[in-house]
Amino acid sequence: MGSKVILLVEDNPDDRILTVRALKQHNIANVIDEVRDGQEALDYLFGEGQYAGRDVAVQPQFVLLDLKLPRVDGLEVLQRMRADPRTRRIPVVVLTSSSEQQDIVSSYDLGANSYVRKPVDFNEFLDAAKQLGLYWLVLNEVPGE
Amino acid sequence: MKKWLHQSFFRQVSLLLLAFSVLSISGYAYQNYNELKNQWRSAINIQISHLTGLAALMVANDLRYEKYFDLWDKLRKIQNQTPKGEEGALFLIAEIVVLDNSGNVVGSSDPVRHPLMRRYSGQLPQSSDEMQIAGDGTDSVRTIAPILFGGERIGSLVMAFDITPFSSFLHQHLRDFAVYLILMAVATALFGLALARWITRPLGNVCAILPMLGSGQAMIPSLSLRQDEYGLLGRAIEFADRRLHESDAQIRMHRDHLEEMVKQRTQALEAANRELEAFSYSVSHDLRAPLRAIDGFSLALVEDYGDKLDDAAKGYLQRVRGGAQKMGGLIDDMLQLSRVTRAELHYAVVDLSAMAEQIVLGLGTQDPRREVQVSIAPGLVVSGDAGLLGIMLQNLLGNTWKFTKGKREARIEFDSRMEHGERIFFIRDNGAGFDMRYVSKLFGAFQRLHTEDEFPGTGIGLATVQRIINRHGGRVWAEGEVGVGACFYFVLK
Repeated sequence: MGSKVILLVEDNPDDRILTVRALKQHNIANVIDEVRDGQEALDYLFGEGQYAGRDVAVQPQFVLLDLKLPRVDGLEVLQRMRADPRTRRIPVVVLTSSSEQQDIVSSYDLGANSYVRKPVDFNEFLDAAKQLGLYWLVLNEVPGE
Repeated sequence: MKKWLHQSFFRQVSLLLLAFSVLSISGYAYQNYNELKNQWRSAINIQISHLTGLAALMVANDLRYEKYFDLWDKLRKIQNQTPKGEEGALFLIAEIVVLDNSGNVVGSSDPVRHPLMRRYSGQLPQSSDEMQIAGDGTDSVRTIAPILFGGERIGSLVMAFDITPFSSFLHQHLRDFAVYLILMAVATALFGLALARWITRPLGNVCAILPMLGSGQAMIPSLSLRQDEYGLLGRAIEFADRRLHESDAQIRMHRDHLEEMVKQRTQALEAANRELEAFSYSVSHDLRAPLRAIDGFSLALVEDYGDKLDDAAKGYLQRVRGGAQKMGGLIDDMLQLSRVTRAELHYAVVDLSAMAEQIVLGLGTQDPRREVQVSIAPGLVVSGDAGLLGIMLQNLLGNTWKFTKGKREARIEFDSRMEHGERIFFIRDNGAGFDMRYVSKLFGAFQRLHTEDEFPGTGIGLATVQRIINRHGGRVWAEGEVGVGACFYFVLK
């Protein structure tokens, strides 16, 4: 398929559904893979645990990362991503539920590239993507390609 | 006079004792000398008188019977009879002269000087029927006595005495006395000094020990072992020192205890605050998640299934969303109020004018269609916590923005004036205003003077404003008139 994958890391099912809906509202053709907590995210990225056997050469084009996650926290996922050469360069957009300064500062310190407030508004999301120079990721693709 | 008191006590006492002894010794000496002189003088005078009287008696017969040779002989013999005492003769008979009633010399112990039958050449003391003494002073005395025979005065006897021996005797005595006096004075002076020292030295010891007061170690055995008043003083000082030391120790203990308690309380408070902060944070966080779901899915319904819903259904969903958003607002406001109450104030110089400009800019951006005439006085600078003051202005200006929505020519003014020496800031609008009858409810939490339909709001904004201003030690109040506008005044410490 060679599709461009977006990894969504979000524990709250309501937020997951709404986020996916917001992204798909405008017919972007990216595949959105969803994981439900930090541990699953790491397993996915490094091909371990329940994702053992996944081809880790194929990494997501970027990651939408919620901060408050069970098992492994969002900030720790970010840390691990930045520590590993395989995942270091993957852009990360942090999802925040409030404009709590501390969270924002920490996520920038650890190497997040941008943040978007929940509930995800598509235009905000587009802005974030533009900032990351990933506009080409979200172009509408003609069905049938 | 003041200089006197600046001398050391020792010197004062010494000088007083010296002065006293010098004065009393001098007085005594003077008195003594005078008395001595007078006593001796009268004794001499008595002897002289006695002698003169006797001589007059002795020569009476010779004079009557004109036995001039015998007279002369007698006079010479009398002259040689000078009374001698242990100290030698105190006076000498210088001359004896016999005169007749006319004042002529008829006999003399010194015929060369007083030739016979001539008038007496010496000075005559005043003649009378009784014997007279004429004191010439320190060197000589004269006497004159009537010579009587058979009750009748037949002549006068004049005797001149040389009392220089007496004078030198007195001088000698005076010299001895002076030496004695000097010795006495020196002895008294020494004694006085010793006495003064004896009296004042304990005071010196007291002064020396005063710096140690409070140490608990002050000992002054030279005083405290005595049984007199100084002993009492010494023991009192030692006692005072020990008590002071005890007090100090107690105070220090209390202070340490207090500091410890304060530290514990502060730690407890800080811990409580942190807990509360964490609690509020997670409460607001966890409360918002379901709200997102309610609002988000309601919107999704409207957007994705709008064509299948009639207006009523869409209206219901709109109200659902409204409720969720209102709740979100309430959570935010409550969180803000709680944080405002707990936050540490960090004082800095805050430019309220600049802050207000920013806020108004923000309000304008959110609602660009509105035209509001805003007048913010420059230079409204205060000392306070920038964060909290920002929240306060946000609330107050947000209110003015909100409540002037109906007015066509909306005006908002932010300025200050001086009254009774304090700076009163005010934010005035010409919006909906409020009824002054309910002014006491204005700043109550969750109290609203308008319905949700008229103007949206949570009723916490002004409570937050009041909390912030109170934390700065100031006060806030408001005036309003329905339909005309409102004005909020505040003062900061």
